[in-house]
Amino acid sequence: MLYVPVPSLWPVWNNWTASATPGVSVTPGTSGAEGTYTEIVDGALVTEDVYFMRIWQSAGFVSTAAKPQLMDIGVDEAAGTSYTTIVNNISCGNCGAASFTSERFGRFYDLPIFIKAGSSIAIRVQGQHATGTATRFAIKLIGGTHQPHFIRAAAFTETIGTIASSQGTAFTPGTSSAEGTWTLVGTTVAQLWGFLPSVDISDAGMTALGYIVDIAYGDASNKVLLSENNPVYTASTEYVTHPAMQLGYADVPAGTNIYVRGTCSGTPDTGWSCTVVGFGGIGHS
Amino acid sequence: MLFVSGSSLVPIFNNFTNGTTIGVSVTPGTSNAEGTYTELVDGALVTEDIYYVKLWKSAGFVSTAAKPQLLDIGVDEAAGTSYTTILNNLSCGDCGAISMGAGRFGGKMFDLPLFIKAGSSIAVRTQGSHATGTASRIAISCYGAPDRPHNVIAASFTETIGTIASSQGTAFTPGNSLAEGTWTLVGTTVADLWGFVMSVDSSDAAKGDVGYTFDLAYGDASNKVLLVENFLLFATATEDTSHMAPEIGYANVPGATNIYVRGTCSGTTDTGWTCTVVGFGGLGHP
Repeated sequence: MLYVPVPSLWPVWNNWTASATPGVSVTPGTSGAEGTYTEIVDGALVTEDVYFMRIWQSAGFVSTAAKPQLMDIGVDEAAGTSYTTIVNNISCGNCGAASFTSERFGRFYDLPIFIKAGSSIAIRVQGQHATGTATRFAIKLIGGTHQPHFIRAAAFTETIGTIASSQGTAFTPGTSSAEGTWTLVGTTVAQLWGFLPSVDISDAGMTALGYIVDIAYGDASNKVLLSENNPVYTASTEYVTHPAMQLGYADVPAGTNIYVRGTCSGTPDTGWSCTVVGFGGIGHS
Repeated sequence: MLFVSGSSLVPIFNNFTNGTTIGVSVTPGTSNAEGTYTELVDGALVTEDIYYVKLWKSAGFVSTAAKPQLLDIGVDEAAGTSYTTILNNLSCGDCGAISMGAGRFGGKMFDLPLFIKAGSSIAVRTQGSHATGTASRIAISCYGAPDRPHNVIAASFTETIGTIASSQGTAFTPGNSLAEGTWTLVGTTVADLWGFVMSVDSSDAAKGDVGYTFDLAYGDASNKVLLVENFLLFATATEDTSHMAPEIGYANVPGATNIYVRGTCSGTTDTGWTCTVVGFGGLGHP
């Protein structure tokens, strides 16, 4: 029988609202320390297995301050508050605040990850700055499929990038729409099939500029694009916004180099860094 | 990208940029006439089969004017300019413009799980209700070349659900002050479908600075199954709207199924809201 079934997926839970203060407030750790986990959803509300998560982050910036941050996601499959970290170090700092008037949302992140029904989900943030400015997280959980064996949702993740001062691997975007140089973010440890780029900036004097970011795998001479032309915006009041960066889907063996490059609409601000979350395995009940 | 891929997918082409004028300028038809197709990408640049398209439409609003629009996508598999429409009537008017200073990656984004053959030119056209056509910018990002195409769901056809009038879809009224509005029947599917993208528009020339979330479901008058929940849109008092977190609802839905929409507003809802839903069916492969 030639039969290609199509999986259904439906909304399991979300706390997205028509509000400029979405979701839950999370206060980052300071001076490079991890924050504490803040529950976003209690396991009692996660009534079905989750195969995809979308995060909407809003606020956390301070004018004339640099506030790079890294986000971890934790779950407690027993619906408690003893969280096991399942995603590490998504770059997420200086987030713009949602505003109806300015049609500004903040930052979005897409994660093809499996989370078992009944799990509580929490987020913690580490910040570089000595003063922790709260940011807000709302999440959407999609899952409950009829055909889980046809869905790629990660059983594990690894984060590629060298972490220092609450940032990932440094890179320099090109000026005036010239492509920047490919910069090695890091090397994969496990076999992976999905990649989420994330970027941040440590600059207390940002400019109103646009950027686009690419990631690729390969070697010094040859690269295969994973995700291309992801827009990121900075404002002169020191915040960053972007739509969800495109997930890169490629079967990449362990020991593969992952690269980033960017380009700026003008002269780029300083202190850009990148982490890439890699997704591996197939998580199912 | 809310997209379930069982295979590798490679960036094929995109014209997203770091500027405020992304992609290509597209001028809508006026007074509900269809515009003419404008090429987004020439077939010579579509070097591999496409299994997924992201559209980003920016600008096109005018303060104190209502500019609802409907967007069609056409392809010419011979890399020419004789376009066959493969997707009809995506609601897309009053798009906000990009502003770096305001941190606004403005406009409307759409994720479309579509199959388009390598070598095809891709174009869009828009029809507008207003007597003056205000140009938008439309950029496209195409992914494809899977190593396991049989594991990727990309539509071989689409159908649009909704009653079209005055360059808008089916009318509905969001609830006020975060109260859910009433479920409203958008229309009924014709073919068996597996994917759904909702699109909304407002013909209000005096919008408020408010936020909305919208839900999409299938079912009947008594029982509904959510396809998409809390799809986010912001509107402003200068009559522009933006939604930048596109979603696809995945469900195997037979022909003759009712599709419903509802919405809620952070304050007092603007008037003139309408909805069209693009349904995706079949599996497009070479």
